[in-house]
Amino acid sequence: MTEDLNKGRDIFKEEAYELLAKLENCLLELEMVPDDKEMIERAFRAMHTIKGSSSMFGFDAIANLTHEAETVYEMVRKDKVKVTKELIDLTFRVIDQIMAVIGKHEYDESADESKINDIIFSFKQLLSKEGLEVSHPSSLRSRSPQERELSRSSHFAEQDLAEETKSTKRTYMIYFRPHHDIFLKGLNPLLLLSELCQLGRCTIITHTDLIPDLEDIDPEACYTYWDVFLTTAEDINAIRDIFIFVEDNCEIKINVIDTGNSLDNEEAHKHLSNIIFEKAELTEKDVEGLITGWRNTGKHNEVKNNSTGDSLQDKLQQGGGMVRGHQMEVSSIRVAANKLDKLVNLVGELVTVQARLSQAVITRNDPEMLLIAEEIERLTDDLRDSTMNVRLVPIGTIFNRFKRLVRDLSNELGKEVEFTTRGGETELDKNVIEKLNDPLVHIIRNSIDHGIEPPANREASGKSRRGMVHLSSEYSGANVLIKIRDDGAGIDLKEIRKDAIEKGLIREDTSLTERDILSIIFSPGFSTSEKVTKVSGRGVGLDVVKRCIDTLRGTVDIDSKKGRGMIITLKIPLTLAIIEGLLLKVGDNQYILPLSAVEECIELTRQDVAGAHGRHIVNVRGRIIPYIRLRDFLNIDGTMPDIEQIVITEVNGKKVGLAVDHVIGEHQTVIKSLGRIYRDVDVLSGATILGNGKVAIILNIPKIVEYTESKEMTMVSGSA
Amino acid sequence: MNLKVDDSKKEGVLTIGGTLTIQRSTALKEILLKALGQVDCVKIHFDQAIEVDLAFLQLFCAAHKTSLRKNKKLQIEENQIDVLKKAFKDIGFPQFMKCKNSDDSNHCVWSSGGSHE
Repeated sequence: MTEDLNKGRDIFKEEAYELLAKLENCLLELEMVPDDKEMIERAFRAMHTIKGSSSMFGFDAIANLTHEAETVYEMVRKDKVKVTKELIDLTFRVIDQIMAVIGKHEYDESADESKINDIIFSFKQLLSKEGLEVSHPSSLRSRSPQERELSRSSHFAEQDLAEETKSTKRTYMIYFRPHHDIFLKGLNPLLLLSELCQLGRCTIITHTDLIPDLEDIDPEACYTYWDVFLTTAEDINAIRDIFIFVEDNCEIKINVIDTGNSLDNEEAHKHLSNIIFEKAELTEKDVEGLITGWRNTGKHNEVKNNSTGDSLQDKLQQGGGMVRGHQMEVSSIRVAANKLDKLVNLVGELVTVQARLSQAVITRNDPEMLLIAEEIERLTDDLRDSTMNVRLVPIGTIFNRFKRLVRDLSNELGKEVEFTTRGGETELDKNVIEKLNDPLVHIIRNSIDHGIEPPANREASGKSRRGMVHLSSEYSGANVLIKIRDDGAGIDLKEIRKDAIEKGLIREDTSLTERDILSIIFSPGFSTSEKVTKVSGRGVGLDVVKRCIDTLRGTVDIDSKKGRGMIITLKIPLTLAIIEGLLLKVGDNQYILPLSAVEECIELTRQDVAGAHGRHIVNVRGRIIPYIRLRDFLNIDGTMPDIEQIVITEVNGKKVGLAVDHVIGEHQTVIKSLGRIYRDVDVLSGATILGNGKVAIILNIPKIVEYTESKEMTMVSGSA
Repeated sequence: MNLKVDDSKKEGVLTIGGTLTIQRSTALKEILLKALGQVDCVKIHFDQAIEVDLAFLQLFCAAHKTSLRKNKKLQIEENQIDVLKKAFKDIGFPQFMKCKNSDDSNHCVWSSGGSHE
């Protein structure tokens, strides 16, 4: 039971985290437009859902805290309290404390009872200042969660009833059937029904037909299920919110059976429940008959004398099939991340086996088998693409987190910063997005701390007081480009060079391009900040960014003009699991290059080599391109073929070739990690298993180029 | 939990109280089975304020089904109905509940907190 309860609590934590993220966004929007009714409503609903669910899972501290916040926001909904900076700050503190309680320490807060009490006290003070009555903390604290829920239930039922008269209501039919083991997960279905009743006029039909005889009953299992008629002004999301924490533990169907106010009376509900009670099913005709009768006469008994002259019960007997109104099934489901990972791993194995099958079929020369193998290949490709798509999530999910970061940082540093985003809908693999969070935090912190100047300095240099940090993302082939742009002080190249010499990172006579100097800021231990601040300047940060992006097989590029600002561009592959690769052969070994990095393949003859007089360059349609011979780079012995192949790629805006013995062709590459022993060998980014069972190494092109350039530079400066 | 049997009337009074929730549901099942096995009429008496949950309601419903099948009676003592109603209210038991199983919805544990007869 404890294990199941813990699982339930874990689900609560995960989903509470999402609700808190939504709440945080609402607050940031409200800070800009304090009277935005929709945002106020969303914030209220998020708090209400967290409160109800936290109470159900035994997080009483969260329930108490959100109850107080919700009370104040209820007053905001009624225009009795204004949205002020004080209220927003206080609500952010609520978020931080809940994060701390559920163990997601986003903003370095730790759960602290005195802080929680302090926040509760501040909320009460806020209400007192407005001359509004405050609720008694003891009344909430000393009672059981169920009692609290009940008292709130009547409180909100009254309010809702008053508000609902203002707008059009819908009548929903909700089928709620908990799984047998729901009690063992610490969940109480009655609390959910109670919450439903808070939304409006509610009639509940309990189905007990599945409860067995006393001899057969498992006393810890749930056999009861319900049909609920709910007439409310709330939309379907408000109903879904109530079930958000139990959706994996029950069957839920929500149907709209009426979109007008026709069924908003006790008698209509009574008759609907009688139909369900008698027949177990409801037809559209039943509802139509009931509504028509009601509109015509205002009385249900007149329905019996409608145009057909039949009673509802008669109609039911004639009706037959079950139509539950316009069914609005949940269009998405929540799946645990580890289940998705497992699915991707299995698809990876399938891709590998399929490659083996294709190879085996080709050697046997059996036309029938070949057809089957091709069909399997097509299906495997479709399955791979679909599976990869399932893992894609919009990058906007992390963009939103940075709004709070920018707000808090700019307040802390006394700077004025406008944070804008674009391309939040760009989708990336879930694992890639998770790993992008830390590098982006570092970069944004760095931009605000070192880049954006204090308002007075900006004005003095003719800029607007308010600095700008813009985060954008866009697709670029099989990659996503994420750009972080600011209009701050930019980078002083001379200063960087001077610091790098002082720190021994470069020699005084080293000749560097502008791009080379800029890339120094990603070196370990480099920081130009004169003082160490809480925000940045400890000499760690941007080198960590580079390392993180390297592990994602991505690249970091930087561009800056002194006094104008800086742009950092991250180029990230769409997925880390399966990529389109180009299979190459050097000696007896096979290698893979990511196909997205390949521009073209050309031949390199002995004649071409002789014409270059020992230099590794090739003429491609009049353009001289340097190349790296992988045979030399990887120290592979043996005889070179008469005609080699050069794979042309682009690294940091420069064309570079990689000379290999043969280009075999495209290959679906399931990426496997190389293990700890190869951790520091950054020119290799993984491995894959080929159809013949052999292993092919995946090469990291930018690292190979970087390594070769640095080796040549050392040789040049050594000879000088 | 205590079961007193009056052999002459073939009647038993099952006295229960306190927390009647899932934690005690196995013990409750056993004593209900014992009661319905021994006598023709089982009367439930709450000796103190009670706390109930859905697991208890289901158990009671199952006992009711069994009593009907065996042509026996399971009832809550008349002056005790308010105790059950209060327990329902305390757990936020929704109103307007109906039980398809019950012969008489006015005397159904689900719909009114009344007794099964």
